[in-house]
Amino acid sequence: MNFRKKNKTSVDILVILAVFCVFTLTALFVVLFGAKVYQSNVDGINGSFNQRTSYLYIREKIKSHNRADAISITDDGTMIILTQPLGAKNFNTYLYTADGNLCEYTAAANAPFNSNYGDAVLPLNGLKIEAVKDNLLKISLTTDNNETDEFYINVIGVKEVPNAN
Amino acid sequence: MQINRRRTPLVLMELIITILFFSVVSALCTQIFLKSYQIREDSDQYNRAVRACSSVTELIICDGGNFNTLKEAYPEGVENSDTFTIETNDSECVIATHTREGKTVKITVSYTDGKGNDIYTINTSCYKGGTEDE
Repeated sequence: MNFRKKNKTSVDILVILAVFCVFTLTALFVVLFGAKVYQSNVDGINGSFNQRTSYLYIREKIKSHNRADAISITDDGTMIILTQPLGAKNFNTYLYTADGNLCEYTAAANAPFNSNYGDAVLPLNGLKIEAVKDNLLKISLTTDNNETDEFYINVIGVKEVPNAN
Repeated sequence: MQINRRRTPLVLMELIITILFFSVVSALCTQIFLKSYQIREDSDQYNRAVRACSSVTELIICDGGNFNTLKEAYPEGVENSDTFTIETNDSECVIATHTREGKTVKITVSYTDGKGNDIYTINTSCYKGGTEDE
């Protein structure tokens, strides 16, 4: 009789332990699943933010300089040069990629250019610019998660200059 | 021993109630995770739509409202009188239409998802020049 009671108590404890184990495993699974979804969302949002912001940044920069003889691209298609007159002098804004970042550098048009001078604006792996027509630019962006995005911008005119760097 | 025998079902009951509560909360959490994932996917799609529509609009405007440059840029697109349709990899579509109104060309560029729902639309017009009879 005593053996039976002892046996019943052991089974009860085993059932409770089993249920507790299932509970712990499920809790762990839910936490891991949540963490994975969260991580994927954060990566996606960051990638999307960089892609959208680089696109808008370059587009607005070009549109704000959309005048005759103001937009130039280098012959290797890696840099956009936007010229703006300020007083008697012309100033150039250079947009290019260096060390995995979209960089911007503004200086007097006759000042020497070095890619190390620019400020990093956003993470961006690659920038490729092509003058499809004399009033149309095709721009390809490669983001930090190696997604490539292409878009077109209509401009008044574009010049090709040799890359001085 | 008497106390132990009484305690065991109580502990089991407590555990079962906790598991029930946990199940409800985890079901809600899973739904929230899926919803957040869906919102991110929608936001990505909206960004794609904005970029595609503005790019197509720029291509039409640079050609004075015609589809010639657009056709060169997207040779896989299908032209049908005043409409040009470009299908993307995810069976999403960019549909461009142009209508001549006097000296201007009215341009509408829409981005639709795989089910044909309108995601984003740009309505604009460009000056074509010439006379109204042309």
